[in-house]
Amino acid sequence: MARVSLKSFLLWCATFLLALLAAMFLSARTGSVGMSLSQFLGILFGDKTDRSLYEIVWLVRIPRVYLSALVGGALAIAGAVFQSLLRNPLAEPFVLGVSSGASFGAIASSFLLWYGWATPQAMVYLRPAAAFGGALATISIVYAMAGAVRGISSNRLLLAGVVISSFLYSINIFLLTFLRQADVQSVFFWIIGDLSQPTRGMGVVVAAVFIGFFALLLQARELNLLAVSEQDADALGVAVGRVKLTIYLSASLMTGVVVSVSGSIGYVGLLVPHMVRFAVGSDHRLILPACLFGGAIFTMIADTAARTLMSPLELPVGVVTAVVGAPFFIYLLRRRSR
Amino acid sequence: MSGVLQAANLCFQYPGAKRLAVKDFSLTLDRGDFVGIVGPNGSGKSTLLRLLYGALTPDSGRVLLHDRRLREWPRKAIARKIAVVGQEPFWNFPITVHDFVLQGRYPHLGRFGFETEPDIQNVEAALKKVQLVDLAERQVYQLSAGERQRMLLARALAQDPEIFMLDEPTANLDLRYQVEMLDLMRQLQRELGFAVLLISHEVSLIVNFVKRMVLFKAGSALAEGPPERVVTPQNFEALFEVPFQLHTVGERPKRYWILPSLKGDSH
Repeated sequence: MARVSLKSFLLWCATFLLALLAAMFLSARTGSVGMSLSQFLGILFGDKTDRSLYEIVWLVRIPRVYLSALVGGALAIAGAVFQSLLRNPLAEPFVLGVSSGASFGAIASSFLLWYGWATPQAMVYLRPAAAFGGALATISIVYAMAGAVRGISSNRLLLAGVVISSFLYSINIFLLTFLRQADVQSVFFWIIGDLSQPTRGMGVVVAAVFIGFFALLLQARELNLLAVSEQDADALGVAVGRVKLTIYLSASLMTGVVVSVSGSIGYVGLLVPHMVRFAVGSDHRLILPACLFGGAIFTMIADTAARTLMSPLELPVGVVTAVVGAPFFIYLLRRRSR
Repeated sequence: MSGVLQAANLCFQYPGAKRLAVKDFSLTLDRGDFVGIVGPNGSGKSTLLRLLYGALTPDSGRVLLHDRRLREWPRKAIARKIAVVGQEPFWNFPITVHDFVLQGRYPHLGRFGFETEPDIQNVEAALKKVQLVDLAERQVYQLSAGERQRMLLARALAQDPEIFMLDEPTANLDLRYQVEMLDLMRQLQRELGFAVLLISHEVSLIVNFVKRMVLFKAGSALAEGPPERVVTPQNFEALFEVPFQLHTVGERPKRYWILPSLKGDSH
């Protein structure tokens, strides 16, 4: 295998970027309303002769493609990072309950809006912030429940995640029934994860995702060491406490802000990091960017499937990822217990 | 006298614990030393080791590395001087032998960027010394227990340290690999001249490799010195609380057989 160097890093990134662009192209072209390739290309370059097609592409599909790329990339990175930090291949934001915690934060913050205590403009910041808080609180609780002693027991960690997750699931549904505007659609949105409602104020979310991503990228070498053993990392000179805190904060930030716009989409953070590790190896300097791109591509494809498989009906994307992801989880669990 | 590493009057107590884990322990370690700290399970050996490489800070007493207090050293700078070979980690994720050994270069790298050619050469030299060059691109799980132990050693070698600290280096190995490991360690030590400090409860093999040993019980040293002074049935009985018989074979090198007296023997 080639050594990881700046050259191989850039080469991988370029490859993934091309793949991402290809996936974006296909995803934006696919949908319940068909169009020819030349028509689609024309629209991409600003041809407005068919006004409704133009609007479908530019106002419906492309925002959704961007959103799924952002959400998927963030969730995949958070998954990879939680796996490495907890040294548990089954960890990911959804399974650990972190996504439910973020949903809880986002839903709870909505009361501010619905009771008129916050303006919609303020909610652009408040909702992602609350979701971040919910994510952070949840991972702290799960970590404490699993007993943060030497080499946290994998099983206890997952159990703690599942328990917290189902607890928060109930709380979330409870809260949603109280919200005046709660309808079935918005319940689905938070609980199962949906990308059909690109919301306003995406700038905050994009900024937060990239802050988290670069913060993690700066810890990539430390992550390499931590993924093997915390004690060894310490003996090799890693400032374990500070690095872990940075990583938990960044991963929670990324999970929180994307859940605040997409609801909790499961298993992206499980499937993608495993495929990525298989493709690029054990070095987080490659794993992290590969997850950003890989998660984006995977989620984009899943969302395209979600809106076309049952066309004209649309499935929430979380249904598609769970249908693929849950069996994969069981496969990993079986392989691990052997 | 100033050694590479000097520990003086170390005391340490875990928060909430009833008694001291380490009390009034002193040790000097120099280049070329091969020191074994032996003692029963739970005697505080691992805690002591963690104090000596700065993972724990003593409540009182001090550790000097090159005449400077250990806690004034940046963590990475300590890791450039002291390599620790601990228990084998649990392999949760696939990693190649080369990538694992490359982690030994971490303390030598700057804040950003990638390993340079000298780093890679260092890793290859380390792999050569432990005879793992051919297996460099293998996944760790494909290796035997002895090969994995040598790989841990290679990572420590890649650190380019002055002191090797080994925590139960032979704990999970069968006899062949135990001997192989200790032989390799001694050979490397002679070749490269670093200091070796190892802790173990498996006394009978260790005693034939070390130049100096510390008998360690309940947080402090019962006896310290070269094996010919320290290895007595009385000392070992005090250490492990079982009667011992002691035999020596040959002079230069003198070999020790340390045998616990079994209860069934005296019928």
